[in-house]
Amino acid sequence: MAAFDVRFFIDTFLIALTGIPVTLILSVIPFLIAIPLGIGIAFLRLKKVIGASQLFAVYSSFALGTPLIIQIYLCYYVLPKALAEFVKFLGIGIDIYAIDPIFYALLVFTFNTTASMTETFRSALNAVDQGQHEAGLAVGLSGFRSFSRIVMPQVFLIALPNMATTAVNLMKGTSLAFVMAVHDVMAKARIEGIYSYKNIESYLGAFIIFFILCFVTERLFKLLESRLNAPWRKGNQAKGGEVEVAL
Amino acid sequence: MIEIKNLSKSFGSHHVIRDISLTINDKEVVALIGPSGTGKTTLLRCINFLTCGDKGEISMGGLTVDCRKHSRYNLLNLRRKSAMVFQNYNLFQNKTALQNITEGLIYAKGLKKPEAEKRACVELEKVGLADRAYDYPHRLSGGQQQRVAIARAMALDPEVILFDEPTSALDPEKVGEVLLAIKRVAREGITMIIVTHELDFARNVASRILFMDEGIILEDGAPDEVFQTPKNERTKRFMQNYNNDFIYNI
Ligand SMILES: Nc1ncnc2c1ncn2[C@@H]1O[C@H](COP(=O)(O)OP(=O)(O)OP(=O)(O)O)[C@@H](O)[C@H]1O
Ligand SMILES: [Mg+2]
Repeated sequence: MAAFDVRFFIDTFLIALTGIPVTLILSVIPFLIAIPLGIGIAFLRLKKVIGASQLFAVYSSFALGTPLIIQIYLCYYVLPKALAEFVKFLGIGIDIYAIDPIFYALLVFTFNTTASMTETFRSALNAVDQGQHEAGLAVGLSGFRSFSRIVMPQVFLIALPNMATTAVNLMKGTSLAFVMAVHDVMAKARIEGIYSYKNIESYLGAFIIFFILCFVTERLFKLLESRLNAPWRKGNQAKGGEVEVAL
Repeated sequence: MIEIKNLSKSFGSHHVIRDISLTINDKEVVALIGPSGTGKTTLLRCINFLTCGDKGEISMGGLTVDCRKHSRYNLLNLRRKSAMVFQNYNLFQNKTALQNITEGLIYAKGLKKPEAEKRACVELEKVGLADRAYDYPHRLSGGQQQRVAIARAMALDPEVILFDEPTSALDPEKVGEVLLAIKRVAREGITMIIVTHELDFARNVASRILFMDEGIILEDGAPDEVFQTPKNERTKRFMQNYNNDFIYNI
């Protein structure tokens, strides 16, 4: 085996760095979409809305109970075929195979992340006493106001640590996007490795980049948590004066 | 004036409220007593529609709402005519004592923030907690939290305040301060319905006692009447237990 090629390592590292925007797109967009969807689905499930509740229970166990890589393959290989058939059936002249694969990647990561987000908000909504909402209604707030001003700020704070875990898992998961021919950090490193046979140098670069990205993400959530360091949480020292918690 | 007409409510096959009709006049202080599980809490919750009755009508301050057909708008308006003090306080955990009171004033009554705060301070003063205005609920004792809840209810100037066992979650030594605060409210001439197991207090503060058992109001009268010469057999037995307890206490 050849000695570690420092020069090559630096070169591929720089190439892999150019994949960061794609990795961030694949992480941030599904995460942001998953928040409102997750809240909505969690709500439907807690309210036991007939039909929707069962449907999303199946969805959750499917999305969380199967390997991500299989979901990706299914989405990438089966979905375009199905869409193409569908388009042909409708007689519209759209070339499904011309769609940028990043859309399939966004779709599958959103699908997967929404399921974790649903679970996160389901338990957070459960953790807030029903009496909080009732007290809101009893003082004459509308259902929406009571929910958004009283219940949700408490829900978000409870959900935050799990949201951080979900974000990091999502970011790690995006490294599988290379199988969909999406050029993220992992794909770029991998291509260099394959052509040069210098796998160690290539993957080490990707490893370092992902480590830093995940570390920063985790720190950002920690920062957010201490920023929201709500004085109303048990165990926190209450500050005197008027402290409005902005959420 | 509050009018309840032919109110019924079941949970599954369990008939909790059985065709109750009741009129409560302005400034009456009504104590609702009775054995556990007979529907007292349910009756209170039906009045402000936290629980929706199956059948019947609730009227309050000129607004009548039918349990079977009501708009969201009517519900909101009906709720805005009443206030409630819960057994376990239910102060908004993410709001200070002051904000707990201003929340409804600003978002339900439409007051400007400074006015709302001024009003909130007045009410906090009345329950002796002016110095705790900026504390969050978890920093207050149970008795203090319940006094804030009373101030929150008072500030809304409701037609009626509904109390659901306001002292039963409290340590015995904190009960007194809350009862005192309720007595003050009573003296201000606000209509109140108080569900309580504190029979001495009921007798002392109420102008009218309702005894409820198995979803029916069995006894309705002045305190002395109900406590000393109850008409119904069940009430007699309930009162006897109470009097026995009373003797044991001595
Ligand atoms: N949401 C609900 N679902 C099903 N059953 C309920 C519900 N709420 C109350 N019940 C039942 O209705 C009956 C009356 O309950 P309620 O809470 O009104 O009694 P209560 O008179 O307030 O009793 P207590 O003095 O113990 O507070 C009880 O048997 C209770 O189990
Ligand atoms: Mg009760």
